[in-house]
Formats: sequence, C-alpha cells, structure tokens
Amino acid sequence: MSGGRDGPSTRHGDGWLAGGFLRVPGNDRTEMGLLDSRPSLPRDRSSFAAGAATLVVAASLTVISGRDGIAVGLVLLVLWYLTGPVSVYVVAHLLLALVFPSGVDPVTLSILETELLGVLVLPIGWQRDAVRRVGATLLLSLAFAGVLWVGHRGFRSTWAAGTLLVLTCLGVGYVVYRYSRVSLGQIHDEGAST
Amino acid sequence: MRPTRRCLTLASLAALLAVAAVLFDRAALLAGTAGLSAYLLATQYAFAQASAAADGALEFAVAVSPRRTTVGQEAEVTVTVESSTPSPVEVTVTPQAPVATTVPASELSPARLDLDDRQARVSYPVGFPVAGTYELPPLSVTMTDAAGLFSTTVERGPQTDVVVDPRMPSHVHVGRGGEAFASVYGEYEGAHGGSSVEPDRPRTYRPGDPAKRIDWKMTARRDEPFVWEFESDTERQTALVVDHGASMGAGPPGETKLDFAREVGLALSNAAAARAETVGLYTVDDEGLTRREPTSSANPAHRKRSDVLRNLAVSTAGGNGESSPPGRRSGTAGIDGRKQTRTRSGGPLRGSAADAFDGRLRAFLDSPKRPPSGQVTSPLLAAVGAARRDAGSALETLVITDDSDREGIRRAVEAASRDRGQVFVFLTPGALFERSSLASIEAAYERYLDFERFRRGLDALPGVSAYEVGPGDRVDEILGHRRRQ
Repeated sequence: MSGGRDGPSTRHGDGWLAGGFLRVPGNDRTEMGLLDSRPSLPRDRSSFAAGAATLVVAASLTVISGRDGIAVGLVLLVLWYLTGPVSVYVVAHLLLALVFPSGVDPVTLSILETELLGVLVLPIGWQRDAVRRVGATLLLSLAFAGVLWVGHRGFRSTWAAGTLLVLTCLGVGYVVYRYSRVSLGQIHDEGAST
Repeated sequence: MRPTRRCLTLASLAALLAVAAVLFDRAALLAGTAGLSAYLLATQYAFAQASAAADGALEFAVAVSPRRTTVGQEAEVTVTVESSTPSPVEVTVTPQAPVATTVPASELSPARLDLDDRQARVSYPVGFPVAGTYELPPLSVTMTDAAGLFSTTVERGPQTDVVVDPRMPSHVHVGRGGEAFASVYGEYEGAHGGSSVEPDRPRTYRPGDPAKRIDWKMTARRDEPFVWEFESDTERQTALVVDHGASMGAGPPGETKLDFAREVGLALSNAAAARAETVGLYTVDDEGLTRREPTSSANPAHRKRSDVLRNLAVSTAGGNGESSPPGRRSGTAGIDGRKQTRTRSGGPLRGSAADAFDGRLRAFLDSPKRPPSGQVTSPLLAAVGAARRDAGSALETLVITDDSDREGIRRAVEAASRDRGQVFVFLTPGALFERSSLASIEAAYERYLDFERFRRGLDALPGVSAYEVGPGDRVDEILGHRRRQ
C-alpha cells in the first residue's frame, strides 16, 4: 500500500521541517499541512520520476533564464527532496513570477507548464488507475487552459479570467461529487422508478 | 464524498495562486491554479469510480451469537467484510452499537480492508440491559482514496435482529403429574364456586383499575369512564404464602425456582384482585417470616403486594442457596407465630429499625411459646399460623414453595386445612431445576417420580390441591425421554 501513494516523506524527520508546514510524515496523510504523501524512504520509482521531472524543469529554467534559472532550479530540486512534487509545483509557479518579472511568452509558458504538469502526474504513473488519473489530469488541464485563454482574451482581465477558472473548477467538482453520490446509491433517480 | 484536510490544503494553494495572479496581475500564476485543480479533480473523478467499484464488490456479513439472549447477558457480534476483487480503495468498516445497548468503547474497533485486501473481520460484545428486539444499525463503511485526498462514507450491511428476553420464565408449567393445568393458573378453582362478588357502587375510573371493570354504558352516558366497585359476598379471605428461601434460588439465571414461584404468585394475586377478594401476603425464608402484608381487597394493597412479589429475592439467610435434602429447613419458628412478632404487620420483619425494642421483648415473647425441646417447626408452618390468626375463618391458603422441606410442607398444609380451610399448594420440584446431562435424565425422572408421589400424597389430603410448577420444556424433556424409552 505504501508504494501506491504519490506522496512524500523525508529522512530529515528530526529537523525543523519535520514539524513544519510542508512536512509529510510517512503514512499520515490527513494531518493539517500535508501537501504530499510520498512513500517512506527508500524512495520508489514514482518519487524518482517526480525528481526527474523536477530536474527537467530546472534544466529548462537554466536554459531560458540563465543564473536565475539555475537558482530556481536548485530550489525546486531541494524542495522535491525535502517535501514532494506538489510543493515543487506550487513554489515553481510563484518563483516563475520572480524569474520573469515582465511576463513570460506563451510558448515558454506552455513548455514550462507542461514540464511542471509532468512533476505532478509522473508519480501517478506507477499507481492504480494511472491511465485514468493521468488522462483526466491532462484533459482537464487542457480544458482549463482553454477556459483561461478564453477568459483572458474575452475579458482582457486577469481577475475575470481567474474568476471564470475558479467557477469552472467548482462546477466540475460539483458534477463529479453528484456523480459519486449517484453511483454509490446515495441519491436515487426518481425517474427510474416509474 | 468529502475532501480530506490534505485535499483542502491543496485546494487552498490553488486558490492562493489565483489570488496571487490577481494581486500581481500575472496570468501565468493562473496556469498553476488550473494545473493543480485539474490534478485534484482528476483524483476526485478516479476516486468516484474506484469507490463505486469497491462498493459493488464488497459483501458484508453480520453474525450474532446468540441471536436470542436474556437481559444482562452479552452477545458476540462478528462483522465480516469480503471483497470479490482486490479493494481499489482503503475500506474501514465501523460497527455501530444499537441504541440502549452497552458496548465497551475499547472493543468497538473498526475492520480495515487495505488496498488489495480481500477480507477483514472484527468482533465485539454487546450487552443488553433492557428486554426487547434490537435491530443492529447498518455498518458505517468509509472508503478513502490511495492519495488520501477524498473519502466517502456509506451505510451498508444486512439487517440483523437480536431478541432479548426478560429474565423471567418463558414457559411456566403448572399442573399435575406432567399434565398442564387446564385453566390459566391464576384462575384456580375457588372453594366456594361461582361469583364471589357483587357490584356495590360506581365510581370514576382510576389508573390501575382493570379495564374489564369499566361500565361502558355508564361511561357512554357520562363524560368520563366509570367502574363498579365490588363487595365480596362471602367471608372468604385468601392468604398467599410465598417461600423465598435459599433453596428457591436453584436453576439457571432468570429461570430459578423463585422466578417461577414469583410468576405464579403474581398470577394468583392478580386473579384474586380481579375477583375483589381479600388477600394477605406472607413471605418466608429459611428462618421464618420475612414479610406480612395484611389481607385487603383495595387496589393500593394489590399494587403493593405485586411490588413485593416482583422484588422478592432469594434469601440467603440460613442457607447457601443450593438445594438441600428434605427437612433441612426445619427451624424453631413457633406455629403460634410469636417469633414473627419481632416485625410489624405490613413491613419487612427482619432488620427493622425498632430492633432494639423488639430484641428486649423477644425474650419475653418467645420463651413461653417456644416449642418443646426437640420439636422443630418450619417457617411455612409459622406463616400459615400467622395467616390463620390474621384472617379468622373461611381462609384459603395458597402456598408456593419447593419440595426441599417435605415434612414442613405437609405439616403446614395440614395446619392450613383445619377447620375446613382450603389449601392450594404450588410446588417447584427440584428435579425440574437441575440442568443435567442426558445420562442423568433417568435419575431426574426418578426424582420427579418421587416428587409426584409426594404431591399426590398432599393432594389426597382433605381440602388440599397440590400442583407442580416448573419449566414446561424441562417437564417435556424428562417425561418425553421416558416415553421414548
């Protein structure tokens, strides 16, 4: 079971990170502050896949933005080592805003986003339902990218695009929630009884 | 389906990226929101499908042993969860205790079905403090996805009932020679026959009055229910003598001799109350009278009498609670009942507050009337003597005891039947309360025959009717075994 989790642990369990926000104790996935649930050391293939994806991101940043990219890449690699892929994904986006203060062109953004998405989904490749989860993640990412593009082009406003994206995510989440309840028989289809 | 804390944390981070994008006007940060949201929603979708598949593959079995029990006893509940396919999600099955049962919190642990597991089992004891039919609540089945982002709880499992019987005899046999009494045992044959009561005057219904006394025509004419008060047309009085000595504790819990005696006593008391007879209650143990309720036909007295009978417990005074050979319980209680004057009418006789005064007087009261040296009398004899003095003439005496002190019973019955007194003896034979192996049924039968000879001897006395009281299934077991042979 432990090998099936896309999540992290750290061998620095006694350091300050052990009790910190990003700390993920081995199997305890429900504690507050849990970002990743990497399996306990020794790291498995899914964890190394996330590391490899992080390395690719770091290399791309180095190529694209030079020394700043190297620094960001190193930070991301350390983050992967200490925490896990989700932390890398979130922090990478925040650091991109610093590396590209005047904005980033769509092509570069697409490349980096694809690589960062790889950090998220590659660990899933060794899990149960890998195809379904990876496929759904990629499909939804493309759909949300489309929503973003439409929102940004249509409203010419970041906040409007953001609002549209958040509403879309909430809508999709609610649909899946209702689907789950119906499939578990918690909601009966009234029309089916007639 | 509900998100876990970890899921909410990730969702918060996605929202944080969106807020940062708006604050810093960086649309690129929204890409992070989109990616993280896609990851969460894809996981949610995968879990929805996996949990539905797991739910369809799960089978639950709830076994209760025993399915029928008695108040105060425990039943073992075993929950078994099986999955026809390796479980794609983690499954935790938490049994829920039925309302009004006692389950030690430490025992109520859930059954866990980890990923790829196929079977899990958990057992826990359930105590039932109240009689009735209990329905075990459905199992709480919680499924959690492998990433620990989502969980869902559903209620599953078969409906299982547990029947809890009160600690009282379930099949009371009252009869003669193995043949059950033809009428309801509370309706014993009165000595005088026919109706013993005449309507006196109507009054409004009061709680506790028998419903059959309601005069519906009069009730219909007025706005409230009316009943008739009856006046006994005879001088007949009834004394109910109930033995609760140590030997009456024989038998399994809830089905001791005393439990059967109590049932018979309550039935007799109710029947007498329904006929508005004046009834007195005398309880005895191995040392003498323990309670002396005056004869009365009033409803409060009947209720009090019923309460006394219901709360009657086996007395350990002078005995160890086990059956003993005949004659064991003969004591020194005088037939004149003087020894019982240490207690007052209508209250418990031993241990009353006025013992100091009572103790000083006892020497004076007991000494002149003490039976001659070597002459022993039984507590039953003392009770009968007290009842005869209380009631005067036309006394019906109902004696409920066991057959451990046969000589004492015979003497008490002879004393009660003097002066045309009617005596009804209800005996709980020891042979019917010895739970024994099949091999010893033959011996039980022999003891039952011995008892039957004794009962017939009593029955042959003038004015005496003797009955056996015991568990009907045991009577059938002993006599049926003999018939098969």
